Amino acid sequence: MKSMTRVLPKLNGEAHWGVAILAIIILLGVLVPLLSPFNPIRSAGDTFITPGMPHLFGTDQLGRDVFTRTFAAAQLDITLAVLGVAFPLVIGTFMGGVLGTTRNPVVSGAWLIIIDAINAFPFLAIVIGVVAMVGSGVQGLLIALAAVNWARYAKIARARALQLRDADFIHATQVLGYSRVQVLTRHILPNVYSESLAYGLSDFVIVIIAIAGLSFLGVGVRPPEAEWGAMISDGRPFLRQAWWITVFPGLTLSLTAIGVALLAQGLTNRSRGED
Amino acid sequence: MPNEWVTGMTEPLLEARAATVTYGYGGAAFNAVNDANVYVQPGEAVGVVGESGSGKTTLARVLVGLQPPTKGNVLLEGKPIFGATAQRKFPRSERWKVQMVFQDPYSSLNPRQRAWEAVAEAVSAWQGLRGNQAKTEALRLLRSMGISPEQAEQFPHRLSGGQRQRVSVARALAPKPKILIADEPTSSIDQSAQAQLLNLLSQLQRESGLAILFISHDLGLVRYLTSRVYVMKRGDVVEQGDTVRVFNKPENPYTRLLINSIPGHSSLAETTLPYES
Repeated sequence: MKSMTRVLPKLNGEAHWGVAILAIIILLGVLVPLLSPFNPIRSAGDTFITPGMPHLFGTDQLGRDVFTRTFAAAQLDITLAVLGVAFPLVIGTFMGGVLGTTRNPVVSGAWLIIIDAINAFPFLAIVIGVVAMVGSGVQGLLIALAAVNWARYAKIARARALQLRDADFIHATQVLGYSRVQVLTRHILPNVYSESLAYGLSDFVIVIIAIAGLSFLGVGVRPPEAEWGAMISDGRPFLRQAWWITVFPGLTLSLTAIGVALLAQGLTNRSRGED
Repeated sequence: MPNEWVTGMTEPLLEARAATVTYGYGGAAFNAVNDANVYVQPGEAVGVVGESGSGKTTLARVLVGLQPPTKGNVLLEGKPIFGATAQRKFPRSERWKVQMVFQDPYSSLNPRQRAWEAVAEAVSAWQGLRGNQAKTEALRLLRSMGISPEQAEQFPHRLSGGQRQRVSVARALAPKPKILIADEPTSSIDQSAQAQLLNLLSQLQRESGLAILFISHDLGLVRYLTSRVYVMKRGDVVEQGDTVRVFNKPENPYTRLLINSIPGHSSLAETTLPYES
């Protein structure tokens, strides 16, 4: 596995911007409990204070500090997005690897129908459907993302595994009589996961927007928890009088998505240049 | 059919008996290998020559058990390796006896495994060694193939084609096989690397009694390495026999054509070898 120290210096301009943006947002997210004297879910004074000192981003309709809330939300949203990508990535890559190497056409055909059926639905619609079944909140959100999104990773991993199946080094594992588990874990999956990671990075953008979107719609993270989507939703009725309640979390969400997209683009360019 | 050179004193180590491989169906069906009878005695070096598309590689895949023949069977030490069931799989307990070196050195090693890891994995699987012991044995095998411990730490993309092929040979030797099937192992590596690989294979065959089935379109290499040869054309074995005899007095017009198309073939017809160890 390539270590970060070997990858980072080779990144190009856009990826550097991506890393810089994400580093600032994550750093503020981690440091906000130390930097800010305010509690993200308690009133800090008057309502609708315009941005200035000491309330950098102003206060909301309940008098809570928007700066504190925005970066408390950064912690939650980014953590949820990482988990929301990681679970389906691991499950899907494994499933795809198994399906790509199985010699049972009935089993793989049946799973393929399920995978295509899941992928055929609009992403948010089916996630909302699953949330409705398993219940809202952080846990329901993660379960719904895993239940839906694994199918995309499975599709990618299966396609890659099918290619690998005809490579001589996989034939060599058959000639050497390795077990199927050994071939899968040591030869197929290590050559499949890099594609899953590449997709995972672009998927991260979709997932973080989905988390905010679902919370905006009221089926994700519950109030009074600080979460970007929920904050945007909270501020919407007051958009004319107090734009800062909506704009700052929205801007931070957009910047995070842009940062990840730049990083993904940079990594893609780098791997294209190398191969 | 056995000629005077092989008098059937011993049971063949590996044998394709009336093996036919058919691709396609109906009118589009054709036989990549047609009713081939090919055998290798223990410790023997046998060549298979023919132009591309003659069915050499398919024959190799059948003999190594990667692919069951449509008709006929493969016998390992007299026992058929493909059962009559739908699965038709090479029994795992016998796998170590027949190993293979593939044609393309760029796809025959796992890009995510260091050279020694690829060999150590095979050592663990068949010699029951673990951890450091497996690594030591892997490094020993690699060194015997001319791969230094420093090179053994590299991933395949850092190694040359010739080095990769020698890693592949070391991996194939790890189960201590009785026969090594080499499918055009030198076709995509440079001249000096070819000579080195051929010398190693020849040395293995002479010194450790490993049987070798050497598949190539290059008659010079086949002549250097093998004592008996099969000539294939469009799936048929058109000529077979003692290598020197086939080269000096080819009976089949196709064999004659192949030999005549070697540059400087008249010198090859003599007993000098193209590569000296």
